[in-house]
Amino acid sequence: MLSLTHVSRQFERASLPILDDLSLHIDKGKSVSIRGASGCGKSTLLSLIAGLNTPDSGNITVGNASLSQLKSTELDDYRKHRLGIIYQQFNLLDCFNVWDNIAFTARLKGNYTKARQEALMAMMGIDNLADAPLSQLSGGEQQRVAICRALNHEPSLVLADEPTGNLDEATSETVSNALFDVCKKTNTTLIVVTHSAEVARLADARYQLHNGKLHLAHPDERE
Amino acid sequence: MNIRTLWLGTQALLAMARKRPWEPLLVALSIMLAASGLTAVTLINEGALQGELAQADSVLTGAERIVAVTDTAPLTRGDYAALRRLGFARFISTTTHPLSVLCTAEDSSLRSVYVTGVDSVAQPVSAGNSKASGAFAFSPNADIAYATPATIARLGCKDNKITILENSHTYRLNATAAVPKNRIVVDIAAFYRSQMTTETHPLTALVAPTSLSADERARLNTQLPQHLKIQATQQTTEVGTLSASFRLNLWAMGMLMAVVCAFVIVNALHLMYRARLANLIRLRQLGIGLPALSLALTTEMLIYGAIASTLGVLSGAWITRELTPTLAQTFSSLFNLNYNGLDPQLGSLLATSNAITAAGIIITIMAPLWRLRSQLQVKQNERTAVSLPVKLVSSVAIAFMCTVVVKLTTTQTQALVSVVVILLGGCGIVLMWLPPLLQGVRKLLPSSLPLTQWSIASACQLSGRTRLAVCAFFIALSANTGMNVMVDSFRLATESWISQRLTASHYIYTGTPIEKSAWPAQTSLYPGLQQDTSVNDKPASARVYYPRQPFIGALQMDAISENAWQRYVSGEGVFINQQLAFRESLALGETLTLDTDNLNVQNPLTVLGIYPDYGNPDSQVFLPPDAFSPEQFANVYAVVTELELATLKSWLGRQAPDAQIYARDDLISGSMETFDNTFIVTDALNIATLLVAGVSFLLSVSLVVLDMRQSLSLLRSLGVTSVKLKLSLACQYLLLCAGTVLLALPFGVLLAWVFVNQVNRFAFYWIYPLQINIDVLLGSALVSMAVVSLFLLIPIGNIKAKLDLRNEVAL
Repeated sequence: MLSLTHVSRQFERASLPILDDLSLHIDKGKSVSIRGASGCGKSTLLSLIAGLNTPDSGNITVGNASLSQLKSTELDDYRKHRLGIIYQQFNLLDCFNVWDNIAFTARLKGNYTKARQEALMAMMGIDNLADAPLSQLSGGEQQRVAICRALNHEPSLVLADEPTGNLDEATSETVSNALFDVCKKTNTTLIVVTHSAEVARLADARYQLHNGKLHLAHPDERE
Repeated sequence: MNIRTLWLGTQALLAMARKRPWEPLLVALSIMLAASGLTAVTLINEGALQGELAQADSVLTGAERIVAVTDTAPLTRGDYAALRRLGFARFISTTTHPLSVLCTAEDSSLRSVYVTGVDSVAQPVSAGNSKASGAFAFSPNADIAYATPATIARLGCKDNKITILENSHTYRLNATAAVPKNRIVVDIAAFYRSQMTTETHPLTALVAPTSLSADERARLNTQLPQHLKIQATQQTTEVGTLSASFRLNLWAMGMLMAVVCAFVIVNALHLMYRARLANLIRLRQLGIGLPALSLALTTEMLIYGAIASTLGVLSGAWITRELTPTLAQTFSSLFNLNYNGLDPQLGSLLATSNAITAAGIIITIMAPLWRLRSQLQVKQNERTAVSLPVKLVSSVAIAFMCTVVVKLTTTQTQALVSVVVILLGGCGIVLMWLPPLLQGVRKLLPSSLPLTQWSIASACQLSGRTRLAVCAFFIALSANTGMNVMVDSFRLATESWISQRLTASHYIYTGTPIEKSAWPAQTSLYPGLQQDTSVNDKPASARVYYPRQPFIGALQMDAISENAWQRYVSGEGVFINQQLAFRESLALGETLTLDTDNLNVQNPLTVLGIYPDYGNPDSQVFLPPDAFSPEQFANVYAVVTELELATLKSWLGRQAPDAQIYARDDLISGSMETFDNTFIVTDALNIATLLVAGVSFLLSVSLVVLDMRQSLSLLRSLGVTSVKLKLSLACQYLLLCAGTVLLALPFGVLLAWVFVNQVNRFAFYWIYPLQINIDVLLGSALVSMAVVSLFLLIPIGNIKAKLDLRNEVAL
């Protein structure tokens, strides 16, 4: 489903590449977690996969599309139709209520259905908050709204950048469990970048990003 | 609080300004615009006033003059002769004293008036210069005195003849606008007669008609006797002929610009403090107390104010200087007035502007500071939205208040207050109803247009966060619409009035009457007859109005009695203009007392009709021709004929070579051209105010958009193309603008009604029908939208919608 082949990326004033000849393959419906020290390039990697940035070398393929060969408008379509993104800061549109925030991506893609949205909200446990203004939501509730939004248009790939970074331990567990469950049920590929070992453990495959390269963590490895 | 704390606090605030300069820049720009606008208005008004005074008073006061140091050692003829011997031949001797004036030698009612004697023999030296600059010059005639028409009317003497009690000499008054009000000017030889001598009434000044050179001044300083001194001309505040409405318009526009800028400043302060709130809280946590912080914020604003105000004054002076040729042309064509521009006294202008700015800042900063203090002290609860019933009740209360204020208005000041009340009430209505209006629009749109939905929802948010900028835009737009509707109504009324009043096919202007026997066949000449008189002891003019066709059909009336024309012919009553009706509170059927000294009428006279008389500042009465004598000829003939203009010109060339003849259509088009020119300057200021409000509004919105970076990044990451994003942003701005326009138009019409029926009524004593022309309303709306759109494209075009997952890249 997703393939990264010999991908490298170096920032202008950095002495070493932040991503160095990195390769990765993820099958459809699988989840992957990526951990690493601050500044090691986790978010850069997600940016490349989201088509928000381009690698210096190497190739990224999603399905049968090579991102480096897509034009700007095609990249916009790629994000609109095939990608869901979850941010650490939630990034909800504060001029909308909960329902309209979640509906936004599906309406944008043109595949909005009320039933699917209601089911999704029920799965995330926020079905009673449809008309609530965002200012009345807790951090955990806001992140669940963001997850619903990222999934509502049925993307084939979801990228989550520190989805529980702003949440307490208990809320973090609830939210991350919900995220992995929903992706599994909807057969959606999920890449989670996180500092949390607990969150990372929920993924089908766990990677450590170090010195610009991905290292597969052993299934029994405890950190 | 100590100085170090204040200094550190101010330093921190200035550092914040460097980091995020937009709000301080907006404040500075607004102050600069206000200072610039008011400086320009002040200089233009002052330049026009000086032009008037120079024209009216130059021969009397000159550029510089020599006067006595004290009354005990007055100026003498010997001093005058000595100066001439020293080579100062261009001084003109003048004398001004309050004297008692009688209408006839037998008259017992004395009137006190200042009489100035001018050496008309010495005047030719200056007259050349004076004439070049359009100043007053008169011929040395011992029996002629000069005064303004208003002064002559006030004296109210039969045949315009007066006798000065002190010298027992009788003069015939000649009317001229080129002398100061309440002054009679005579030849100095005619002044010193009988008992009046330089001993009893000393010379008061030796006037240099043009400025002294440095060399002349230096020589005078050394050679002038001890009891004399050089004095620069002290201009008085007397006003001559410049249109009062023009002056009022100019000031109104200047004040409007200042008010709009004040709103913009308060708005920018709110935005600035909100953007800085986190840092300000940190300063509080680091031990800078609230008083020190407030003082530091005020100091910071005063620094910006001083810089911006100085730049504003300099740019205002520069703009005025650049506009001088255009203004000179306008003043010359409109008011026959010289406008040479002023050499601005920058020192005093800067001091005044900075003082006003500092006071303004201290006042305007209070509200934002108060709000900030409360935010720094306690955690504020989320504001609850105002419910619909509360909005409805508040709107009705505002409408009721506006109605009451308008209804109770009886003076010019109250009329201006009602304008302010309407504008502020309108702001309240806009703040309450703009968000629901936009929400309503959003509900009408299908939810399958998510980007448009976001755009409108975001516009709703903007309306709340830029509420003061919206108010500034609303005020400018309402005033603009009001002015446009008013001017359009005035134009239509004037055009219709002129077309009806200029009924005859041609008009002849001549100083000498044309013998009836010389009139061509098939042609009737109706001489204009006029007499300055008084109605109920107040100055007014009586003019002839012919009770026959086509004149009867042409006289447009606001109100007319039954059988008015028959009663008019019989001498039972008169027609009066609106000005007289309003001034004397005269209604149809009521009676008035006319000064009948030179008129063949019998008091009391009934008001048979009230006619509009647009643009005339004075009271006027129409009388039938029998009321006048041929000597009261007013230098004009209405010509009713079927002859061609060329034939008439040929005949007139033989009969009265000095006379001028004009076709009716030429007079109408000339009058309307003058009318249009009158409003050029105010139109320009009007548009400038709109520009200020529009630009400030956009800057405010742009600042808020900076805070929307996260949302914009998100939308891009969700697959919204850059072009669509820019279009939806433009849609947001325009929607907000269109909502404001929609609410401003009815208020603009209401303002126009107040301008016409109250401000004009109480300031100038005449009104005209309000014409609500859809084209004018649409024009105002489209111009304002165009102004906003013009500036809108700049910030939106500059948005770089690049982003990353953490939104760390600036848009």
